[in-house]
Order: sequence, then C-alpha cells, then structure tokens
Amino acid sequence: MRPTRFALIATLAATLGGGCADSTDPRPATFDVIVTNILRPGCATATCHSAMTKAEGLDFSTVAAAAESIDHEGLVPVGGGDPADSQLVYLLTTSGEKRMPVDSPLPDVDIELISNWIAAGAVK
Amino acid sequence: MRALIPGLAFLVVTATATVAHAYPQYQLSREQTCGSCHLSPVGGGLLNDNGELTDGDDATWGGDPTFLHGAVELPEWLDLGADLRGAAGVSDRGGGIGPAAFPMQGEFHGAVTRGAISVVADLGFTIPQEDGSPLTVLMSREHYVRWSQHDDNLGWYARVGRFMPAYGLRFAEHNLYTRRFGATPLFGETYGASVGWVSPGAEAHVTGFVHDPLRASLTDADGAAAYVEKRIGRASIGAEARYANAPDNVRTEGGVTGKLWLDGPEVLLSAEVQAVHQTFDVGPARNQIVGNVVASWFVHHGYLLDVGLGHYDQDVAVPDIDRDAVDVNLHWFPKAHIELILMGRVQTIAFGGGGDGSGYGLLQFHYRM
Repeated sequence: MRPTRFALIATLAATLGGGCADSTDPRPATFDVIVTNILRPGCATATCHSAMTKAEGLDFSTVAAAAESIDHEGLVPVGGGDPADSQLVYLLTTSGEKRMPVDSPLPDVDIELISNWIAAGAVK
Repeated sequence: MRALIPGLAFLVVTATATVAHAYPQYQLSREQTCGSCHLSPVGGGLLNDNGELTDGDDATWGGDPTFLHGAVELPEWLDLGADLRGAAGVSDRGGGIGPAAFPMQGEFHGAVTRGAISVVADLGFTIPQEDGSPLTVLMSREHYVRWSQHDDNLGWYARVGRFMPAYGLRFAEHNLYTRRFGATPLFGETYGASVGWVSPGAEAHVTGFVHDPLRASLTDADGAAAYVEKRIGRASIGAEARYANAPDNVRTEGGVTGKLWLDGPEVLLSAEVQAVHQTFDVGPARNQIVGNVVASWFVHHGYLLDVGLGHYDQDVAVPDIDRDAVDVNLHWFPKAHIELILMGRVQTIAFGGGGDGSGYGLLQFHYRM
C-alpha cells in the first residue's frame, strides 16, 4: 500500500465531500456513475465480478447487483464516512495480492471519485 | 467481513487468459484468408487441412500436425480438437511484483459437416459461478450452424447460433485493449445470426445478436455488428461499426483497421482504432477511444515476435484517466501442436501521472490436440 497516495485521496475526499467531484473531473460522484463508469468496466470481467462468475460473491455488472454486493460484503460503511475505513478503497489502493483490479489498477481519478462518494454518505 | 483475497491462479486467469482464436499475422504474410487455415470463414477454432499443414511446416522440428498426431484418423465429415493452455511467471498489479502460475484454457471443439452445412460446438472449463451450480464450471462459448457456399470458405457464408461476431482484427490475445475494452472481450460471445462474404481481395460480415437468455454472460446486450475489409496489394484497410443496447446503457461504436506487410524485413504492421459513444439510463454519456498497433516479425523459422502498443481513454472528458500498454510476445512453435509464448507487458496510467503502473512477464504453454 502506498500511504502517501492513500492519504492524499482520503484527504481530497474528506475536503471535497458533499458529493462534489474534483474540479477537473466532470462526472458526478453518484453510485450509478461509479458502477457504470468504473466498477463494471474495471471489475465485472468474464472470470471476476461479472454476473457469469460472481467471484467472491461480488457482481458489479449492474447498479442493482453492485449495491447488493457492496452491502452484503460490507465493502463500504453504511452511511459512508471516511474513505480510509472503506474496504473497497483499501482494495483499490493496497499493494500485493490483494490489489484490485488484477489486470490494471484504477486511475487515481476513479479512486478519488469513489472516495468522494463514500465521504458524501455512500448513497446508492 | 468476508475476506476478499481470491486465489492467485484465479486472479491472473482474468488478466491473461486466452481463448482459441485466429492468428491474423499469417493472413497477409502468406496471402491467405482466415478460412484458408480455419474451418470457419471468419477464423478461429478448428484448423482445416491447410491450417494443420501450416502448423507442421512452421514448427522448428516438424511433426504430424493432424488430430492426435495422426494416431486416430477421423472420417471426412468429422473434425475434433482441443486447446490446453497454462502460464507461469510474475505479475505486478500495482505496487509490487509477485509470482503467478495458473491454468488458462481447457476447451474441446467439434464440427460435423455434411455438404455445405456444418454444426460447430465447443465445450470448455471456466471458473464456476460463486453461488451457482457446480455445472457452471462448464461453458460452451460457441455452438452454431453454418452454411458455406464453397468448400474453400470463399464466397458467401451464414451462421446461426452462439458465437463472437466478426469485428476488427480478431487477435488471439484478448488482453489487447481493442478486445479488453472494445467490442470483443473474453467470453463476449452472444446468440446471433450472421451473413458474410469472403474473397482473396475483400471480405464483409454483418451480424445481428441478442444477449444469452439462458445464462448470464459478459455481453448483456442486443444489437448488430459489421466489419468490412479490402486488400490493396500487401496491405488492407477495414471499417467496423457496432450498436449494443444493454439494460442500462447503449454503446454505439465504430472504427478502422489497417494492415501492411513489409516483404523485406518480413514484418506485418496491424492497427485498429475504435471510438465508442456510451449513454446510460442515469448519468452523463461518455466517449472513449481505444487502439492498438502491433508489429509482427517472423524472426526465424518457428518464431514469431509481436510488439504492440495499446491506448485506452475510458472517458475523453476526464483528464489523467487514459492507459497505455507495451506488449512483447515471442511465440515459438517447437513442434506441431505445441506453442510456447514468452509474454511481457508494461502498463501505465496517464504515462505514470495518473496512478500505479502494472505489468507481467509470463511463459505460456499451449497444446493444440
């Protein structure tokens, strides 16, 4: 895990909060956008968290399925809060075998948008 | 909280698994069509007699390239085969290099041909659905009925069933960006009907498709795809278009392809660029660009070197979100039926300014029955 990057992302998320995205990122920090723009293309690949495989019980292929998976696995604290407490952000920023996604890390901008969503209450 | 540490084998399968597909490197270099070496006019899957002969001729130490090394002679109307793959090496998924060893493919293929009609099917193993039946470990990516106008796969063809629509360059490596983030991802097959025409100078394919109503699959959309390609000497240009309507989003995409064979150095240059416009039921639309350039060099008898560059911008309106990859794959065909591939990839986000880089170095073993 790279503490510097994680701290930066968490700080940015906590500072911005309120559902606001980074000023250079025009995408709103909403759950629909996070699933359709980030989690589905990045994580719902054939042999991972797609509907056909549901690796680790996670299905990110639709907004509804992603909401159920995140709740069921406790990936994000109910009601949001500090992104640093989120298992989802941890998995996206740690290093080694736990790091997700397996074939290509997410861009910092994407992780920041997810952090913003969590900081703003993680409304689904 | 449940641990989220999938096994290493499973993880890297996702990153690097390959399915039996075409080797378009052979097309212009040998002045062939896909159907010159494959039973299918669009390439991929079982080899025909010429494809098997090419396999034997291109191997460093030759060998009998026919089914089961000639131990069993199949009747003319029946074709059988299988592909087995595995790989081992190291991978870096962002922040550290670790070991990797995993199975990639175990898949059987069959085709029965009577006159102009063929029934084609495969059956392979995949990762079973986490909370589903154990039988979800079995997967038939393709099963269809095909009509071909001529025995040599030239002229008209049509097929109905489950298959990957002909689209773009159709490289075997599914992790090339144009496949991974484009219209032909791993396990992206759908049910559909296709009609096409193939000649030595040009080819055209049109497919209408619907999502799999029987089993959850990766392409959960209905739509159509088209690809046309025209040869100009030892070069070709192509155009592609696709419309895919899924439950919560619509992808409208198009692109161009190009190939150029350089006789002197025996290098084939292949390029493909796709533009994707994606709208969602909720949230803003986005535009994406994905492209690959691959140089294939027949280094020596039995060896093929591919060097590729990939670019993927998942949303052109968002800065520092684009990815780039450099791929180097060295194929060695020591004997008929056997292929060893030394695979390397380095991947960056916004040239290192947008996130952690990643990559792998793997040796893949491929046995074709």
